[in-house]
Amino acid sequence: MSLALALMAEPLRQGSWVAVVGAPWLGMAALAEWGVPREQVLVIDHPDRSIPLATNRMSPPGSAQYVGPDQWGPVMASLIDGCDLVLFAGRRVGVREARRLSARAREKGTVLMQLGTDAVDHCQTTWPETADLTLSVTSSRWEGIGDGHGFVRRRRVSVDVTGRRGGRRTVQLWLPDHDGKVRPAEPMVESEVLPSSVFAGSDIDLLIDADIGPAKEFEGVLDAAEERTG
Amino acid sequence: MNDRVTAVICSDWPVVAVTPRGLAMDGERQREGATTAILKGNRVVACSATARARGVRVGLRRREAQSRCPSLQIFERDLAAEVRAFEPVLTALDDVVARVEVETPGWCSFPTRGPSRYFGGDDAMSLRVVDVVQEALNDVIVRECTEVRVGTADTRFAAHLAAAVALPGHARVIPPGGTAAFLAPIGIESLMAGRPDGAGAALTSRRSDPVADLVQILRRLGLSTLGDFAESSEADVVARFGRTGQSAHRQAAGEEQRFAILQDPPEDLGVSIELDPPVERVDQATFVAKSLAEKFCQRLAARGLTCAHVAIGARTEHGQEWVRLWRGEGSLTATALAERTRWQLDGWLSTRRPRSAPTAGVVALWLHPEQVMAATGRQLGFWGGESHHAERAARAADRIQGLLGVGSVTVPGPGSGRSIGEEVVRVPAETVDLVERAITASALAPGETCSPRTASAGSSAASAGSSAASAGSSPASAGEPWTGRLPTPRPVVVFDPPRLVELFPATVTVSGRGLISTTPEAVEFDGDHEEIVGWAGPWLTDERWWDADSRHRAARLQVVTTTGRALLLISERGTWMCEALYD
Repeated sequence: MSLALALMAEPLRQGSWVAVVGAPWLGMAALAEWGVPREQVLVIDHPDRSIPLATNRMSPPGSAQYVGPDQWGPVMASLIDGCDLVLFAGRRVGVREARRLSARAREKGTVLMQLGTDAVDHCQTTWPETADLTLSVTSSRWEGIGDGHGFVRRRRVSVDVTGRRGGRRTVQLWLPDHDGKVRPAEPMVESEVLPSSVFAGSDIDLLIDADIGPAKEFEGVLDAAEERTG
Repeated sequence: MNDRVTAVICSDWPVVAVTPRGLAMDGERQREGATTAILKGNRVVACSATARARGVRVGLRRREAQSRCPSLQIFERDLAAEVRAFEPVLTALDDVVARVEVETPGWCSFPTRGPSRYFGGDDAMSLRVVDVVQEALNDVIVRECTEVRVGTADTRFAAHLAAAVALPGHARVIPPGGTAAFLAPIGIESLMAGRPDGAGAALTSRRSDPVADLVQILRRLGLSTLGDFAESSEADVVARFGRTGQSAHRQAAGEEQRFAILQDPPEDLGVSIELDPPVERVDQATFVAKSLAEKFCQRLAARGLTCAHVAIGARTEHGQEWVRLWRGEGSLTATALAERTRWQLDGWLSTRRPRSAPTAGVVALWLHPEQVMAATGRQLGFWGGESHHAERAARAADRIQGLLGVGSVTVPGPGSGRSIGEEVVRVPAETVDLVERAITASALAPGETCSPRTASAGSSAASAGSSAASAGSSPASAGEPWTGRLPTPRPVVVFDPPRLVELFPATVTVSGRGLISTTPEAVEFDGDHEEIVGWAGPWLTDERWWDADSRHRAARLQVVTTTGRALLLISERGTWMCEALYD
């Protein structure tokens, strides 16, 4: 998930907007920490649940008992029109719906990002088509915490990057580093790698147009990392 | 020839709209007039007469208003309800006069000439209108909440002022040609007061108010009445204040507020849409109306025009038609038009007259400009060139609210507190101006990249407090230093409510003094049993210990498992739960 936030931060600083759909668990404090300007974020917790007009405005959103017709498709479509980045989770998407949305996104130049939410809800999110770019964290190791002292400070991850047109590479990153930023990490000494630390919780699928927007900027980081790892 | 105008004002209309609700709460006090205030964005926009008598004024903050009048009942502004409540008045007026134009709920006007001739003069007609409106009000609401005032004059502006100075329940008629003399002694501030507050301004652009600026400058120039201002030469006013000044000058001089082009619109500017199948629900119709309004505005914009006066019509399957005229301040945007369509349909559905209520779905909607004027355009910010991103997103948010209902879209706003959920709160998107907010934020931090995170210097559990304090001073969390807040980085996945976990050995507990009984070895979360390789804490929090009900006492623990997962655990009353995940 941090990977997604790190990816988002740069285009948002350029003035783009992001919509977070179906991920009520996303920590808003972390969002700000990753440098995502909170003025450019729209959050739709329950895209498949409509709130009746009669509900008291002051009651918290999503608390309504009434469940209306499923509006997920139209909601996504309007977000694709309105935002430059759409992050979504918690939904099994049908083939036709997926095709329609990706066509729309391609036309508008919007990036769809699917959060692999394995850790949160046992992978309820599925997209029937292959993504243009898939980033998955294959291993992660927190530093700064000891046996009863310290606290989690920085994390070293290796990210697998797979493209739709083949090609696969692995990069080592600090996510976050000491300053809360993404930074390419030096290759580890072999003995440091724990063979058991395989963790595939933070898969991110960049579904559309990997050549534009955040993916491009992120590629810069990845390339830099690759040069170092050689 | 000058067209005379009659304005009808029902005072404190926002209060009326909430009164049925207030009445349900305490009937006795309502009858003598409850102290009610209506807020929008934490500012009082209207209040009842009793509240005003106790010192509550429009423009006060919530706290100020409450301190002046502790028994104040506060309601959020609900424009849709206001329009619904206003509908009976309009229906009643429709029976006696033609072409009623709604400016905002509680304010409407109509051309005087026809009705005046029919009823035998302006005075007779005005009194008749007062009667009709009062009768309509008697039917539906508590009379004491609002007062009807009617004003007739040569111009719209003067008619509003005449209505404003009329005695409650009476009419004030300014004789033809006497408008300038009537306006002359009135204070210059009425340039602002002479138009509906709130609604119009809220729905159109509201960057800074040019009229308010103008009034301030004029007052400093020593022109304290409309008469003084009207005496100055129009050429000088235009040279100094431009278009705003010119139109204000004309208003003050008792002339119709004219723009460069004020022409009868060509026939083809109206837009209409046939709905097949018929639309049964208001929100569906609103959705259609939104795209219709956008098309309408585009068509006008292509000719360099905007529209401030529009007829919105709807037809049902059974051939019933419902047309209303709406007048906006300046120009009506697509959003404002769609909003008005919704109000109109809402009002139509809630009408109490069986013969005029719709009996079938809506099959056609149309918008027709009644009057167009040259678009002066909107200058985009010189520095904040990205506002179109924000506008696009705000439109999307509007559309989703149309689909899912009000309150479905939230935006993060600044909060305060120690726990992760409290630091940033969710604000419903309709309560903030998304565009304005984004522009202000980007103006405050031009080129500012990531908020630099203060490196938390504290390295041990014992210094968690100090490191949290240093994090508190970082710009990201400017505000109160919440000592004892979690150190950065913050967890990305936050569970609300926390999920139950099991910690092994089962004897792991935290004592009242914040000491952990034994080293935790494994955690079972979501059915996964994982060995713990690193842990830190416990960090105690004891919040609101002075209040038995909301007291919150807990201990937090960070653990890292062999799979590389980092969890934030919280222990409350002996139960371990997972509050958040560092992912």
